Amino acid sequence: MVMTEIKTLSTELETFNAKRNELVQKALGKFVLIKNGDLAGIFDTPTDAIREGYIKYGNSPFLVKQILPSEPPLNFTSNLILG
Amino acid sequence: MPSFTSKSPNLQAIGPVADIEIMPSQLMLQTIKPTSLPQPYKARALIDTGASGTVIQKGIAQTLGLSPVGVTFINTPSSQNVACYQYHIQFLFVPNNMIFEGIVTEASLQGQPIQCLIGRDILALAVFVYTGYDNSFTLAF
Repeated sequence: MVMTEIKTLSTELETFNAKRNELVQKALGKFVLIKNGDLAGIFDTPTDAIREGYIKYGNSPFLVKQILPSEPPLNFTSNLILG
Repeated sequence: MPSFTSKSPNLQAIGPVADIEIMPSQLMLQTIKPTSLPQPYKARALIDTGASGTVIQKGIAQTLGLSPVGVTFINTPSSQNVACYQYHIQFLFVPNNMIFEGIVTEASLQGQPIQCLIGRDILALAVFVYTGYDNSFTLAF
């Protein structure tokens, strides 16, 4: 399985992956907001998490992730995307 | 239910495409209240039932001055688990002025005269009728 590298939000992804099991135990299906290494909140909807991200961090990168044991990838079967 | 019907000379060759305008989300505009607004990005979107999520062409979010709100992973016929940024945007379907707001994924669309794939996340909210013999399609929300 190939995993591509990204720079922006890599710290946030590492934080999410490090805390994923703990988050799954207490907030399965909800949405977490992460900035740098800080878990800024857990929300019922992605819109609530993004709104809080804009309030706290403005128009700068932050990570909103649904709390799931594993993340199903998006699938594209028509080969229009250069992967 | 708002809808539009589009007819093309050769729907099989061109596909079900619609003109859209991509903008920062209302959620962002109302929360951050930027002093200046970018011009809407005019794009052509293909309704793609083979796409599980909606995609915008790489670079559009940067043009609009947007920062990512997430990262997701995608599979294509030629690659697996490609990390892509996600953005919170709104777009306007030009044919009927209907607005969608939500999270989209940014990726490179190769060699196509389109800048957006309307995926099944949006189609989950819609009725999509493809009338091949008439070279037309209808999208209703």
